[in-house]
Amino acid sequence: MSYSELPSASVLLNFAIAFFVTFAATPIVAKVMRRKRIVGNDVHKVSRTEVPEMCGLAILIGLVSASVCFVAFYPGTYAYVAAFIGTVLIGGSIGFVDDLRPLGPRTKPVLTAIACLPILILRTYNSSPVIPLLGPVRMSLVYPFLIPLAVAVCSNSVNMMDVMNGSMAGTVGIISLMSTIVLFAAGKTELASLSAGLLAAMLAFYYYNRYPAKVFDGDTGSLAVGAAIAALAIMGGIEIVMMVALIPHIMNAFYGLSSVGRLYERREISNRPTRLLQNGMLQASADRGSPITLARLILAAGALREPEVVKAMMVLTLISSLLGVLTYLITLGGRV
Amino acid sequence: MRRLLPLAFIEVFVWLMLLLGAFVIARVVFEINFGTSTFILTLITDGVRTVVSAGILFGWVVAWKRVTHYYFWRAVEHQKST
Repeated sequence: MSYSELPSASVLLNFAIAFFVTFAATPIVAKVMRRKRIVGNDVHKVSRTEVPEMCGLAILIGLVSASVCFVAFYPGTYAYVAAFIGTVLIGGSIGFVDDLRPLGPRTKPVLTAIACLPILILRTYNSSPVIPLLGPVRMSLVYPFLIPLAVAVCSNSVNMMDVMNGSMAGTVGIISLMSTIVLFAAGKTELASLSAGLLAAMLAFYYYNRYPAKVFDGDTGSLAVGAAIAALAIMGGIEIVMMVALIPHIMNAFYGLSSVGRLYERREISNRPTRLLQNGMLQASADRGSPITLARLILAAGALREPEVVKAMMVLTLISSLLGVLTYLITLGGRV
Repeated sequence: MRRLLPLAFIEVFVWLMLLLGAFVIARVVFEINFGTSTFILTLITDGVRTVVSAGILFGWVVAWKRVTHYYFWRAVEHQKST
């Protein structure tokens, strides 16, 4: 069976399994984390509520379970599924270590680049990415060297967007919906199915992580999800489309890095980009030394409640995802 | 959410600049040719193409940063004055 001949039901199968497993696993993981006192304070609440950390493990469990069932039904997709699971698991493992013992601001990006190894080893990539208005560009020698960079940028950008209740799950949910549609339209049903699994895991996790959050995904979840997005982009040959959809995440990371002038960890920044008011609203810091993050940009026009900031992030991601679809349509047009 | 309009414009600006950059690289930079008859000429052609493309990318990043900073500090000053 050729990959493109997979039945459309395969997309629904992966979606359903990933959704139910993540939905069921999240409260169990949260209970374990709370018992082990792996908790974090919700810094955007006046009460600074304690919330179980590292619950992104449930996303990993959901994605891996769905992918394993998927490959059992459709063994022909083994290479893609193995590369996807491998990348996600390595990304998640780095996040797991970082959650327990924080890695340095330089170590983390370098380590996340390693997550691309399964894609390189199984050769599940096409070294001729399609550039809008340019068509496919042969990059046989350079492309494998760009893959680690893409995975590191993607996972760390998603990780840096994980700042408020539901911000990571909500925005990545929108992006994975876009990638599922684009990959399905491109006839890459096996990858559309994996993307649908990611969408389902995000929806299920968002239910618990939305304001007021009952769980935090931690770096375990955000780095794994970022690696999953990079894997889908590389294996599906939709690198530029995904880059456009990720504009808010890249904006957030780029502004932060360019205003601080170096790689940094959130916890080491003393001048916070936003500050919490007594009434529970968030305000942009006017301090010139604070990093200009996406949240600070949204709050520049006045104070907002946390769920309103997250909603704004999701609207911006929806716009960038629509631009991603437009980019895909332009690439279909071929070379100018 | 009217406050999102400037940020949405920045997104569209970044996207258009990306497409424009790709167009310029396709139509102008890839047309640069010093010849390919010898290894040195091939190296010069590829080198110049790479440097010019990197310059376009750098210009794109600088323009992006400037637009965002302009919006941010203008909005903050406006908030302070009201």
